[in-house]
Amino acid sequence: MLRSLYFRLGFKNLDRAALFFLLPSLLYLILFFLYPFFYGLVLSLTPETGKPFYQNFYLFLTDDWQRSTIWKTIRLAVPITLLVVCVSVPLAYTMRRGMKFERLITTFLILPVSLGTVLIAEGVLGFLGGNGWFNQFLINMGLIKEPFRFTYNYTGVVIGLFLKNFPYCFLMLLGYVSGINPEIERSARILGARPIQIFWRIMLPLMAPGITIAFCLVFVMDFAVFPTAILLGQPAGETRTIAIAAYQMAFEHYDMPKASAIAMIMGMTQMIGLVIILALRRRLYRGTSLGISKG
Amino acid sequence: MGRTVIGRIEIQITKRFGKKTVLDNFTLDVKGREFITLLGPSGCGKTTALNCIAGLVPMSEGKIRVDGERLDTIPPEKRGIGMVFQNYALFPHMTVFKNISFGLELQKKPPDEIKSRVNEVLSLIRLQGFEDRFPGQLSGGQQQRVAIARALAPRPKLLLLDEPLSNLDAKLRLDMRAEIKNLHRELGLTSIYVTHDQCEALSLSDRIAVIHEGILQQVGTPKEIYERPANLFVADFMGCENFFTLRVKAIESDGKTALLEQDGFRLRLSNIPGPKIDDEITLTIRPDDIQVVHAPSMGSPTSIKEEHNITAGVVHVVQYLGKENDIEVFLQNNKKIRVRSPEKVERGDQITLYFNPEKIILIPKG
Repeated sequence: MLRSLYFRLGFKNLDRAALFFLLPSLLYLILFFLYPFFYGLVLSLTPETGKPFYQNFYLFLTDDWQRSTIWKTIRLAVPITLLVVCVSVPLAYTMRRGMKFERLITTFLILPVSLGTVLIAEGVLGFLGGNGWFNQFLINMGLIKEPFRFTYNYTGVVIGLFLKNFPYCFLMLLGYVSGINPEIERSARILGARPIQIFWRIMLPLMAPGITIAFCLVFVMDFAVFPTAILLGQPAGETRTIAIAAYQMAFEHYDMPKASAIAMIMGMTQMIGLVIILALRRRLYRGTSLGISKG
Repeated sequence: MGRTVIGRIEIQITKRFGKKTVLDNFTLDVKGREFITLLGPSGCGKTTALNCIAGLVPMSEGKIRVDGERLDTIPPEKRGIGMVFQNYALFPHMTVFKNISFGLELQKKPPDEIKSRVNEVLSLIRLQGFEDRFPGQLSGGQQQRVAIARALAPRPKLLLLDEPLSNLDAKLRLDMRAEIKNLHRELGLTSIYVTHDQCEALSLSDRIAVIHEGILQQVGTPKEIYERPANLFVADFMGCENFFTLRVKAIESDGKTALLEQDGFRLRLSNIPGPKIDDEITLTIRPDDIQVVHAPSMGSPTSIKEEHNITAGVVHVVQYLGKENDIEVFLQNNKKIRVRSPEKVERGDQITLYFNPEKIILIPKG
């Protein structure tokens, strides 16, 4: 019976050994994703006695202050994701065949990954803060009188998140672009395409699946912004993201059902975002998913 | 097909990667309509030479001229060259039609002309009806044919082929070889072909240029290369596996026929130019040119008119190849040679071999 179930699920060649090796990831998925998700879902649909099942959602969506966190998060996540991807694509493309000092450059670019959010935030505060080196330098040079306000506001979060998520995006795209058979662009060149034409007509369409995945991942990471929004932003104002709202509900008001409802809304918004990204990609480039290089 | 026909290409390339010289003053003259093959083992510089001609790799020194005009100063996209790659290198996100029309669109040809030209090359490679397929939906052989069509569509004046058959299986390779030969006969397009496969080179080429470690070893027709290799490397690469170095011991009264010997192995040859006593002569013979005249399974020995150039040996290894056997034989002087013969022999057999002097190839010194 189990075998016929495998078959219907499409696992025609799944033998016991394969199942054994799948076990850890299945276990992980169930323990850390499916269980919390359904637990949260049930919790969010369990309001105070006597109220309708959608009460927790209703309260969040009808409260202007709470509901505005959705927009505030989108306002952060979408531009930062675009910025990260738009900087990563040309950079990864330029470095696809290697270049001088590539190791050094790559090391510098990915250093933020190993530093962690808090250290990055500290760094941004020290360099770009009101009393940071950058402003002090400009003031001492006599170029400005009042320091630029780069921190504790929207800009601060943009800078912090960019530094944190850019390395992931860059590394992922670099791996993807270098994997494209170099003979493909050579053949385009020989056929008469100038470098810019090769980029737009050959390489960008071939990179589209990689760019889409990178975009989705960065978007999800940006959407869940929490420490950066607190450390570099205005957590009670323009950068009060939905994650902060959920945190406050859970650990300041100790209202788990309502916090769960916020988490569910956050998840739904992310899903809608991903669906839009994937739909856009399908509209832009058809057929790219047919395999990058056969043979 | 109304393409520009070139008269002559003069190639002279030196290429260094860092301190390593990959091509050392590689010089070659290609005639118009000629099919020339660059042949050599992997890493010999043949693909680098092709990439330099295409402009994909900058040369360290040298010039490439087409009918007297510099080609190497023109960027690759303007050289008017067609190129076929080992991995086909089709654009996976475009249909067969779009792949082939890509070069024509860049030339800003009107849509009618693009359509008729794509159809023309598709019929040339017999893939009509495949216009709307994607490369991933084609077999390896079909993909390579599309790659050839794509290279031909813009009517290049020169076609470069970089090991186009090495990714195909053995049978398909033979078919495609015939197809390439046929295309060249039909179009008369000047072509430079790179391969490490001597059979491909021999069967396709008007001329072959053998390259080894960045240095041109010999240029000649397939027959010249096969029958008169210029040096040890070319001979070895063209399948001469048995090499002997013998000393001239005596010269007969005609002044031409020389007796050679080394460690008891003797040959009597009359094709040595101006032999002198004590000269060292290097020669070779192909495994299938050595004749087994007697083996235990054969009963009475095959009659040979000559009494010279016959030697005895012991069979060491026999590999059955179907039509014939590949036999490793130890001669009396303990030298191991390779013989290819249909005779049935077994390990340990005492056999007699005949070295036909007409089949013996002398290797020039140096």
